[in-house]
Amino acid sequence: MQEYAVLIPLLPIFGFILTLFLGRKLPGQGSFIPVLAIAGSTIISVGVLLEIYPSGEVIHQSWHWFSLINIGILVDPLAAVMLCMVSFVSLIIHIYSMEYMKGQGERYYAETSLFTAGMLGVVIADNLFLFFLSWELVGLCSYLLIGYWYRKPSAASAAKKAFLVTRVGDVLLLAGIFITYANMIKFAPDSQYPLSLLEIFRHITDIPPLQLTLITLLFLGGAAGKSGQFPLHIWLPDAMEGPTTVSALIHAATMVTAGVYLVARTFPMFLAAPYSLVVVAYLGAFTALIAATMGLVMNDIKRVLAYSTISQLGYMMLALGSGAIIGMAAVGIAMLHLISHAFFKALLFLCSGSVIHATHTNDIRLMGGLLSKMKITGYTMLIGSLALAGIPITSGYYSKDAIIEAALEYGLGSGDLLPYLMGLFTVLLTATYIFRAWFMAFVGKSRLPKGKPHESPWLMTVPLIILAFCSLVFAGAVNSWFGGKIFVEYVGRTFERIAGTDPEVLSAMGGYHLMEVHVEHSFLILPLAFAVVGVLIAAMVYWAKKPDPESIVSPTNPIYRLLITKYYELPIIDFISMRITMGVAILTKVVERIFIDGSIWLITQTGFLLGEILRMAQSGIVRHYATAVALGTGLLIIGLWGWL
Amino acid sequence: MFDMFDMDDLKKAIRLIPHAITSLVFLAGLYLAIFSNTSWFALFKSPSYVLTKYESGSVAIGEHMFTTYVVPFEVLSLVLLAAFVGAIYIAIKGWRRENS
Amino acid sequence: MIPVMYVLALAMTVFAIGVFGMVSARSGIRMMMSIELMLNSANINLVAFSNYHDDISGQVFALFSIALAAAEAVVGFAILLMIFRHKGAINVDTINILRW
Repeated sequence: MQEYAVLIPLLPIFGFILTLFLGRKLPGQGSFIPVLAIAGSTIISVGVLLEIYPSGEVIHQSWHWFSLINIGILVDPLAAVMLCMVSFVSLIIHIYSMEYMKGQGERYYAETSLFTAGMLGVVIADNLFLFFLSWELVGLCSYLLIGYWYRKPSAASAAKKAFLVTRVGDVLLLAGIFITYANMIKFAPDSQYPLSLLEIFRHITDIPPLQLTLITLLFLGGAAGKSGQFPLHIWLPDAMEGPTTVSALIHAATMVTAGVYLVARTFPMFLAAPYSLVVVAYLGAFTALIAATMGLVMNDIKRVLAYSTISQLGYMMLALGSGAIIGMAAVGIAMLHLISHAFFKALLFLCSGSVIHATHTNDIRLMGGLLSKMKITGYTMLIGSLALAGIPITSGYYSKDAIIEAALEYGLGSGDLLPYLMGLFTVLLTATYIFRAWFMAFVGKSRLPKGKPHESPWLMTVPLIILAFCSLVFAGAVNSWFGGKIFVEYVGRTFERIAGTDPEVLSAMGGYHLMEVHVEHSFLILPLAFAVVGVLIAAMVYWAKKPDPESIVSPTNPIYRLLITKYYELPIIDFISMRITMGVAILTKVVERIFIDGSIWLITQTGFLLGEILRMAQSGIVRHYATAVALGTGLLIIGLWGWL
Repeated sequence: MFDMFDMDDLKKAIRLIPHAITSLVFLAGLYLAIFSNTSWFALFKSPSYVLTKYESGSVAIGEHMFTTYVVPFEVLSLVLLAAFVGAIYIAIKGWRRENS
Repeated sequence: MIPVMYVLALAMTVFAIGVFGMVSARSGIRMMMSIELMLNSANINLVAFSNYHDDISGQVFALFSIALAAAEAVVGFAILLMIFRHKGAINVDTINILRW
């Protein structure tokens, strides 16, 4: 299978081209083409994973073109598991959207196929240039798909917002890549292709540590843009204007994890960069907490899930940040949660899509009592919610528990327990908000103004069941039930096979003290307890209605007002964009108009004037040209003769 | 004297002066180019300016034309034919339009 | 006999006359005639050098050149005919729409 690995991102690209140009003429708008293409990618990905799993080897194929262009693939354990997840979730969602997006145009299928190709390209890229290229492709597809219903003004502006906000992160990432390039050229001139990841890893120790901190923080900025970390998280909830399948595929399961993947991919650099991992840990924990609080009050079911996505991505960042103490195992833990989150979040989004399909509304205040009418959707969503809340035997329990434990080890090892506490409190909030949504939508009396909801067709429920099964068993199966932490150890040892990534050397360079921290088992029960308490709170308020939710949720409650306005997000953004950015823009406009445009105007006017003068010679009369030729020849000869 | 050409003829002659200057300059240029750096005076003594190989010039030309240069000759006939056909086509097209 | 230098001087003079006719011509016919003059000055050159080198090829080429001049005249007059049909005159100064 290894020799076919390059086909993994190429197949969806072919799917994209075929669907775009032939989709209109094919039955079902050609939606089966991307499904087939991505099924092929899935098979190859799984085959590659099975092939490299026993030996833990690293596949690296690369094609040079001159000295500046390099296209190559790098499949190590980290990339292999990510490839399997991306292609599998993408396949499931494509099958689901065959029904969900029926009759909405072949452009949708083409664009999701292109998106999948881009995401697989991000994962498989062996150099930062290709990585960035795919990263931008993914961002473009995200823009196109958020604004899929571009006639709706809110969708168009949400797409613009997402594009602009992620652009901030992309610029930071690009700056990081530039600095990396400059350093590699300067400190490692012998390397064949300076942006190749393997070359960079080999030469990490050549780069000065503070430069490395700058690079990794810029990378983190890029990751924050894509993964919706704290200051740049504002685009993700608005991105829910796109079709629900898009939210499931892009803004929950795959694309937003690209930022986490970036940090995991370049983790050796983070480990060698002083202070960077601490920033990662704090950023992740803070984002997890603040997004969970906002998720508590949202009424749009998809927005609740969007905030929970931001929050869970914060967890993954927290796990990576705890690598300051636990070392490379952090990558494994983050990836475990990333994949298990991809399953249950895709499940939750598809369930909400099924609900929206049935009720034609996004507002959970208008739902209620749907469980009796939509049994499969209701119970699969319950499984997803349990997984998100972290209740045992679901996948989310094992993966999130691992993160909380890692955060605790980080806290005990570094004496800084704040990220751990934030993460722990977020568990409570997570359980509360997701079960608030579930209780409001599925139990109690129906508050639907009109219409009779019904279960969705099998093409939509079968993917739900598959995803529910994965959400139930995935993390337990690969990491807990059969002989210990298989997954975390496998992925955590990714970098052992790659030259120049000895954790001891790197952490010494970054000033981190890797150590084994013994954690009391009694601590490990805490997240479970918090989760159960969270579920109980939600059940009390929104099912039993003991403290009536109406009394808490009122515009006069200052906490509620703070949360529903998303910490006064709009005025702050308005201030930044309207005042500061506009001020700079006006200043630059003046400079540009006067100096740059002025000089250009001068040049063009000179050209015009000369042209007007020369034009007079062009009379169009043949005689005059003949005169010019004759006179010119004569004068030339006479002049030459006189001169010589 | 003045009755030989009236004012219109004079104007025409005056108009021709710049053209005449142009062609004179050109002629001067040609003369210079040819006579300034070639030792033409040596050629005065050159004896071979009488055809010696053939009894008659036209016989020689005809022989050459149908032996050495027969292909250019045929091509030239085609060129002439094409030019005539093209010219007749152009002329007849307009003539038909005028008459219909 | 006649030295080749004099023949060349004659050819140049004929050519200069052609140039003069060309630059001063308003009528298309006169322009064509000037062009013929210039072509024939080239023919004179060919024949002169043919004689000088004692090689008959130059004269053959002079004949070819005369034939080509005929073709050129045919095409030129066809164009003049079209101009006359369009403009009602053959004043070449009025044909200046291909300026810029």
